[in-house]
Amino acid sequence: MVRLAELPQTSTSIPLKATLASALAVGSGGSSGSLADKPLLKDAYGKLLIPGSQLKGRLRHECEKLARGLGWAICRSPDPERMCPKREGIDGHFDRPEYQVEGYAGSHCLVCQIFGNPALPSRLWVADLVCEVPPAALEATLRPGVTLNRRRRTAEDQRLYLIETSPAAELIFSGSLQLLPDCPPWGKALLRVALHHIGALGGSKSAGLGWLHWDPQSLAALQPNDADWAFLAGGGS
Amino acid sequence: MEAIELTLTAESPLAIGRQKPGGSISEAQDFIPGSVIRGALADLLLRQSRHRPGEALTGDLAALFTEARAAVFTHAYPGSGSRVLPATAFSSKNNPGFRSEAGKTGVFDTLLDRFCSQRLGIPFDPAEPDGSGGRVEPFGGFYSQEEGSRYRRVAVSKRLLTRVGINRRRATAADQILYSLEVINEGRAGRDGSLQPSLFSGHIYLQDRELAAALAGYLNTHARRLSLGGGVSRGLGRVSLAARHLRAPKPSLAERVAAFNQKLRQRWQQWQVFGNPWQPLPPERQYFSIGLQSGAILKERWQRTTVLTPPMLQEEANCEDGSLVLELACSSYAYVSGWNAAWGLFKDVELVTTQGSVFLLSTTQMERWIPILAEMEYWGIGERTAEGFGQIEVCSLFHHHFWENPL
Repeated sequence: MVRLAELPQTSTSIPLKATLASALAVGSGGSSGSLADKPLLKDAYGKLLIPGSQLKGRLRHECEKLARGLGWAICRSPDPERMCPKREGIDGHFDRPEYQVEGYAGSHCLVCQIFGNPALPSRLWVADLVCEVPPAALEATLRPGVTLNRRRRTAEDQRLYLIETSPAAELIFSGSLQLLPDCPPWGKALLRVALHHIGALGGSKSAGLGWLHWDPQSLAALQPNDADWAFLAGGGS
Repeated sequence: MEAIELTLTAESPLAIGRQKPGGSISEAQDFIPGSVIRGALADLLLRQSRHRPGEALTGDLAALFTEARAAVFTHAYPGSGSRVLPATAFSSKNNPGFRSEAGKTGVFDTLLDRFCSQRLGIPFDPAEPDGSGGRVEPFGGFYSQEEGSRYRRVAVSKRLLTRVGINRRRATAADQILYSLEVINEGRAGRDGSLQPSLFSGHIYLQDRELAAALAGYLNTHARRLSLGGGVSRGLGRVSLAARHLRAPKPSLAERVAAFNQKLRQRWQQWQVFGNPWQPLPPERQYFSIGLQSGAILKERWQRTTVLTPPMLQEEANCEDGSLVLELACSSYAYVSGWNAAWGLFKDVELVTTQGSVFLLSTTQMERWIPILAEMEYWGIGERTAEGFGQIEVCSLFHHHFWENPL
């Protein structure tokens, strides 16, 4: 018999903080009203943000790399045809008991069990990382760029562009990760290592933009135990 | 009757989708449907109670969601205490709006004038209330009434978010995974730099007082765990919630019906300047309007319809009244669908009589109908009332505002 007053608080919310070490360029598609070809993404109040969709995608990418490296068969997101439980044209040992999820048909790889797939809802909710500095206190910077003609070593015609970036200051972005009650316990271990692997977010990372470091307190909340590490290490068996 | 007043404050953009049949664009709604709030709450409760798929619901969950008189989750409209403008509300075609906004000529209601003109056989063609002769059009949406009689239109602002999937091998945008999502803005910055979050308000109606108190307590405790709409796992749909348990206010329906009839007869007298009516207004007959405060799913003899007919109303109320007559109907239609998380499937596409539709009926047995209509104002009419469909307002005071006294 379910009683509302007796229900436990079971999901875990982990505050996440990142400090920028360089300027940031998270472009907003379809924006207008700016000189820049790629304006910065802002929320309705004008605050800078790194969208939860981007962080979730990067986390998934890193988790896939780690899990594959540990010998687990992982499907190929984001193409729904090539994701669990369909996995068209993907080889690998997916028929294993660890990939069964109660109430859902087929097998779901470790990463899908955390991030979801077309058949299985995500067990991790990633909030936007929002910069709390008021928009009026931030002066956006326009950075021009031009493509070079490699043979003539001069500027290519019609290849001048402007990127809008945040000021190169130590801005703090805060958000949260919410692990739902049915999120597997080893998910914390994968997420912790994945966050360690993310050193930059946004565009032009290879050109020095978007580099950041995570607040150690955020990562401390994702402390896994030995059993979780042992489980993840058994991917090849 | 117990009521829980919900105030929802958006903390991130809300992707409350509205996909039309056959369409490929996901538009955002102008409000939060009751089905979205009900579904999100059910999802949260099922996860917390570790409910297994296929098991029957028990205890408070059954009382809230599956029993015959399950709780009614009304739509949450923008602002605080907002109401739906009736389909009979008109305003200027070129410069529509309430008089509280500078330069607007105001909004007026045409229900009673339409009734009088129809009965007299005279065409009714209103013009702008300022006497300029400008054209007027139906004026829809939501309104709120501030202190005094200052009326204000309430609306949400929206924006498009563009998203793209990344091809993991090439680290570039993946083919065919570019999409734009329309969302309700989480708020806006005022000119003075203040932040004004998007607020929505709605109600949950229940019968059981203890359950209502437990639900209000639960909602306030778990206020930050509820996420609404689409994209909740990637930053969208976060809301904070405040629930207030109150006894549903005693309906003032008898007074509203009396005032409505008084206004109607006064208006009828004023219309006599155009000539003698071919059919007088019977003194024994009383009139009442039913305005839809949310879309209603109406069916008559298994067929979908957009007009609330007397037989349908009698069947709905389980009250036989041979004197009940439909005098006037102003309604339109739309389609709704949705996603049922429990089925893992789309909900059927339903034909819905749009919110704001107005029906004017008359009867000689008004005293029998008053308690029935008062109950209906909470429980709704038609199908899927637990999801907020079919909410009605009987004899809205908005119908008292005529062309010569616009709001």
